[in-house]
Amino acid sequence: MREPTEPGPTPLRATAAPAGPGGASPRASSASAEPGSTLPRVSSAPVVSLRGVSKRFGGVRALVDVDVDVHEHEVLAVVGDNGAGKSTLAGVLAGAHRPDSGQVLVDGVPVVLDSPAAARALGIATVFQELALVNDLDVVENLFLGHEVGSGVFLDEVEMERRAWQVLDQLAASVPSVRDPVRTLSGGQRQVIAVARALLGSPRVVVLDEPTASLGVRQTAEVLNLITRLRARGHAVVLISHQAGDLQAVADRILVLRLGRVHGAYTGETSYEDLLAAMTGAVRPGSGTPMKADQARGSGTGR
Amino acid sequence: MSAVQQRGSLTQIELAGVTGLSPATISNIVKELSAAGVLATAQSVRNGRRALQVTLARNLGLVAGVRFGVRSMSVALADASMRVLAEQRMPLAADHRADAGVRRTALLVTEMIESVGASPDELLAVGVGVPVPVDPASGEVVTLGMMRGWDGVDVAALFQAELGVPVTVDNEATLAAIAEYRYGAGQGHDSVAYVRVSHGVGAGLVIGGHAVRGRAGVAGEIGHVSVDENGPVCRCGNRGCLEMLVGASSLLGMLPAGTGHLTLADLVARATNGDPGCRRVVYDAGRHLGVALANLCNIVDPAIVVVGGQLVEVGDLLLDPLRTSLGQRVVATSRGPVDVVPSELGGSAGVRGALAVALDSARSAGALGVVGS
Repeated sequence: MREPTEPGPTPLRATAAPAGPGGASPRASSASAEPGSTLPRVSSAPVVSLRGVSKRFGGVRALVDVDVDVHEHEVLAVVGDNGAGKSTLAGVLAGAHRPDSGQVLVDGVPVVLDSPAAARALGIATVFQELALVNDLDVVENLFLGHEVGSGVFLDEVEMERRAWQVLDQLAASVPSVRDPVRTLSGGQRQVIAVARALLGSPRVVVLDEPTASLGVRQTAEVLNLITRLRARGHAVVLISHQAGDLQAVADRILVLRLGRVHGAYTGETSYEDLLAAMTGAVRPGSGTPMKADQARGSGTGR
Repeated sequence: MSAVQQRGSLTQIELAGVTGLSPATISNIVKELSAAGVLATAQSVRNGRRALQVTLARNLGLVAGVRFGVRSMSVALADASMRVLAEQRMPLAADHRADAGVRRTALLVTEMIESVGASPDELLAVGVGVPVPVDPASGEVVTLGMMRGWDGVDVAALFQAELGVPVTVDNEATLAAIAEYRYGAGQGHDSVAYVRVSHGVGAGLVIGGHAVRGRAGVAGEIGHVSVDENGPVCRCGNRGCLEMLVGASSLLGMLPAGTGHLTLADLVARATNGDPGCRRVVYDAGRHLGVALANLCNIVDPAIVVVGGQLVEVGDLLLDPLRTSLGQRVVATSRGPVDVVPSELGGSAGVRGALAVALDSARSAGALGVVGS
């Protein structure tokens, strides 16, 4: 299956360079010089920021005055109890929900994310908990559904298959064949396909909503490794989950949401107890002092 | 039998050399054991001559190797000929717990056995490496306050309860030393010192073909050798330990602010790409390691020093200052200073060692058809 279209891993890796994050801003282009390698973040300015974002569903205040910064080459984990507003936050970033008040800034410029297409155009790709894959279509058809490659009525199957392998290789995905229907794949593999589809548009920010919720241990391991690779490639990753252990394994920063508000921001090395205390409201909002935790551990740098 | 198992696969001629038996005797023994279904043979070519490659038969069963690190774990599954059938890595939280870790790992082993099309009862033994000293007799973690969530835990008993097979638990660096000695950079040397520089720092020693563990498994804890007696207090309770100077969190803490949150992998990549600050940090780490390793070499005088762990991925940036500082401090001999080489097995040294001790225990328990030596 793989033989006819894939000349070898090396040329593919080389052609994979433009698929790195962004290309529009000077910062992004300097960070996409070599795929797979970890490169310095030249500027610490956030790619995407939320400022004072609030969202109401009828009488429910899902998000209240939320400030979030998302940087390139960083995994920002968002954790919280059920109903804390995690998925609403993902929805706002994905363009599925429009905030009632507050601003969304991309590279410091206020933008309106009024549809998923608008968010994608600005480099934010979201993988929702329901992966929205079509079970009876094969991997290539799923990846290119809605934006098929080809001219006129003819599809360029060879080109699509080549690009499918290219993006799956970047993710070091273990998918048996890109011509198998998606229903034959495991949960972890489907998650990889959904992420691969998100990556086809060369996004700078990848939002993953509960990517390990319904997975076994092995698939969870694959998804966590995938998140590490996305970070190494320079993407900003927003990881939304309520499984604190998985978050702590890969996160650079952890944002705790509680009842729609930001209850604290912690470093990835924060102890489980502190995180749990913040999630359950056992400590006051803002009592998480990431600076102090940083210095005590001597591992982070002042943020 | 033991010779074949320890080396995975070798030719009949090599087997004669290793065991000291005559080639004819070896040929007869191999024929007998192949007929009994314990060994498998295959034609191969060595030095231009036909040779018979001898391995353990594959259908004897599977062993699993598990390596817990400070921030990651890996699991590998191998057959009786040490052929790795499946391997899986997974990042871990900074303060992961023994109970949850063992549970997940046991599930992972079961899932991996299924994924290679085997059944769970084919599992013969499990080898486990943990990044803290382990009592060699009981398999219990003996440290106090070194690793929250693992101190005092009987890891062997936890695994046995989950998987129901014999479990060997050892220090992860000791297992890596065994793996480098048998299959990696230490092959052909009878004493190997392995040092792992990653999130933590540890060493394993194989002296005269035997792993050295000490009374309570603390042998080789080079990360907790005092380098600066007025230095900061370490998690082990002492001051100025080597780990406080070259452990990942110390190295990352030395970098200037404003670069965002960095990981050890970021440091390695930046140093390789020529970032001056990161190179300096790595250079100093190499010098400190050289000091501590010189003390070790003056005491046990190993034939080779193998450096493993994530930091050695920067190569000579770390090893050159290490060699210089080591060479200045070891007793000068007519043989010159000891060779310092990077690990050949890389990140999988620990898990390969875990597989090796699992296979050893399966053999001595008689599961491979031949009892004892």
